[in-house]
Amino acid sequence: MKLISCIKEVSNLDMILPKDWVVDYSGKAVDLYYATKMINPFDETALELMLRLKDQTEASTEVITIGNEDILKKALAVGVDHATRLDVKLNKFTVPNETASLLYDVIKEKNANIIFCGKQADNGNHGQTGQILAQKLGWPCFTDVIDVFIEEEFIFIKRLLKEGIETIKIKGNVVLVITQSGNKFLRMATLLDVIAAKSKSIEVVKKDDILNQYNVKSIYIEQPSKKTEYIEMNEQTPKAFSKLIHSLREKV
Amino acid sequence: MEKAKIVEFFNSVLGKERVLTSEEVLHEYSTDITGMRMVQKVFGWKSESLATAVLKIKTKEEAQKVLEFMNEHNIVNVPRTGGSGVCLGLETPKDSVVIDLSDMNKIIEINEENFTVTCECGVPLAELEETLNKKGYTTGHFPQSLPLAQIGGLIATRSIGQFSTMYGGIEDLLVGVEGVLPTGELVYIKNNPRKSTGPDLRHVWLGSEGAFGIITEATVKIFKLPQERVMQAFAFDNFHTGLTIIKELMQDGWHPAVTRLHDQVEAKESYGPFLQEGENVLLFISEGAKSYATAEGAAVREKALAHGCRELGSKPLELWLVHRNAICDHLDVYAKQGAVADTCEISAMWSDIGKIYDEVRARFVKEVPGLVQVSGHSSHSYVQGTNIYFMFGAMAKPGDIEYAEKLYNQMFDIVLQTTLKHGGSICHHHGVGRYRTKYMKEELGTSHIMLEKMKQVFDPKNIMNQGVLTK
Repeated sequence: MKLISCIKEVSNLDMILPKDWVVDYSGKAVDLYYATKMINPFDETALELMLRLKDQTEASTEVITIGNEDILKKALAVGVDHATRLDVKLNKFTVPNETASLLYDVIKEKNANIIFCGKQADNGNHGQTGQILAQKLGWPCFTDVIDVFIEEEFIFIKRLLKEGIETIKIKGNVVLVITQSGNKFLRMATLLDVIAAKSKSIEVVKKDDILNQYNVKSIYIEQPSKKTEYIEMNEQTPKAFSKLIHSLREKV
Repeated sequence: MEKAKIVEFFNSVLGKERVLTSEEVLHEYSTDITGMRMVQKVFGWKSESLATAVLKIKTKEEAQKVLEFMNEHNIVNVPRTGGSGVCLGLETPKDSVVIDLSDMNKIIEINEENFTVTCECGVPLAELEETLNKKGYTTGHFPQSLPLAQIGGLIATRSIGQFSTMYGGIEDLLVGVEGVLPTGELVYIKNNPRKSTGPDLRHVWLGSEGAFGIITEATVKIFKLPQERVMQAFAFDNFHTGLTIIKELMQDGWHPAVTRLHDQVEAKESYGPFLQEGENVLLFISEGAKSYATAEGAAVREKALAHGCRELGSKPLELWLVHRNAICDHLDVYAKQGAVADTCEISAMWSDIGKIYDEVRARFVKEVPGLVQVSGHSSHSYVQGTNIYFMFGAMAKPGDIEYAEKLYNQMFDIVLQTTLKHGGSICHHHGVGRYRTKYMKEELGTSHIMLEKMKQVFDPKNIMNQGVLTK
């Protein structure tokens, strides 16, 4: 059995200071220059689920990313067998269909059985790549997956739904779109694993640059307007409340 | 004495609602937030030595009554306030009684003439700081435990804050203090700027860790909020260069409130996008009166540039100010990933600190199986030396509680043994707890007998937080 996890490098948005969450002068971006880079958290969970399945089945595992190789080294350090980097220049308007097409071109040749994708990434929040990839592969796709295990020839998939946790039993190839859950942190690499990963080779697949074929443009990022008003509790409070209620009524 | 009778007495003094005996509560109070316990809890660890009861004390008179009773009946107790200990100092011996003083939480007086604030032992430091800030003052005391810590515990553990190089540790801030001895006697050390009336009795309480009695009230210094802050960060290649820069600044007579040196591992983790491969980072905040902060900032910059540092501006400090207390969250995540991780802070003279840093790191890499990380930073500096705060973690065997403890002991032993070998102190500001007690004879040398005698005099029946400081 062969398992593939698609992972993406993103900025650690937790590092961004509240005062820096402002749109820049162009009106089109927030400056994230000082945020460290990391594996997209949803992809980390997907990667951990893949490794747990590897622990259970001794399947061969692979990670694929588009862009930098740092996160591939991390994946190799935590126990993934093989890493592939798609060497392609993306533009900032790359859409999920293009990402999925790039992944499809490589994955279709890999004889994989299960593809793991994180549900979404903080920088675009499209939440579409896994589903489109499945469509291109012609495979079934399950979203909001929080666990997966194999018994005999069946794959058991747990999905987090509003109604509760659904378990699905299927046979055959599948794309799993993983959401986050409480105890699925990506395992840690030891220092020796990190050192060993540094010397492991990474397969590089060169692809044509993506040229914004859909001509996507960001027009403007609107700053959310303040919709709260702070009232201090003191002897003036009743007056302040009356004033606020009056102004809200006027707006309605 | 039978448990039921003990509880009956406490009920009569405090009322049933303030004598907690449910197993869930006793488990919650059975330990502190030591790194080893965090991972062991993930593996299913539960304390086998629960207390008999948790007493929610509200007044010093209640504290006197319950202590007198416990002394008379040889009942071991564990005093606590915020519960942010990290050295097993709050672990409950079997059938002990927890004295929870966190409900003694009144700010009694802010004295704007003498620049002091007097408060009960359970006042949360965060609340005190916020109250003072509104009046234009600060405690100048910002330990990493700030969100949890309360005044009594800060004194009992000889706490220190992240701005200590200017404001000092809790021992520099404490003016007067009141406590209850195991016999139930209330003792008060009055407020004075300095005195020469024999040994400074405040030091019996500072670092007492509940072993000599209970702290009920304290008066600490306050300071005007700084008029100006100068924040600057620098990058450079060699950790020892950073130590030299700090040493020279201290010995030139400067006291940047925040003086931090992070090694390349920590620097990359927190400030990676600012750095080139292998660089360490120095963080400085000078604050106070406008002319002072500006002058000190200029001196710091001149010194750093003279040693070949690269300027990084103030943004790394802005980040540090916001994220500085996140270590507990990190440790929790490590624990959930099955890693035994913790921190250990030691201190030494300038002549020895660099050797300790190098040797500890080398020993970790060579000796610790499954090592994930070992790193260190200096965060509290003095004319004579500095501290190193080591951070480390290694993968445990999933579910193996005993192995987690063995691994934890191995890592701590490396830090403490190496420190002692080079004449350093095994603990800079976390306290001894039950964890470092085994090293106290070696730490104190011939003066250890003084600590033993103090324990015998203040707590002859050994009922106060048995097992901390000395065995």
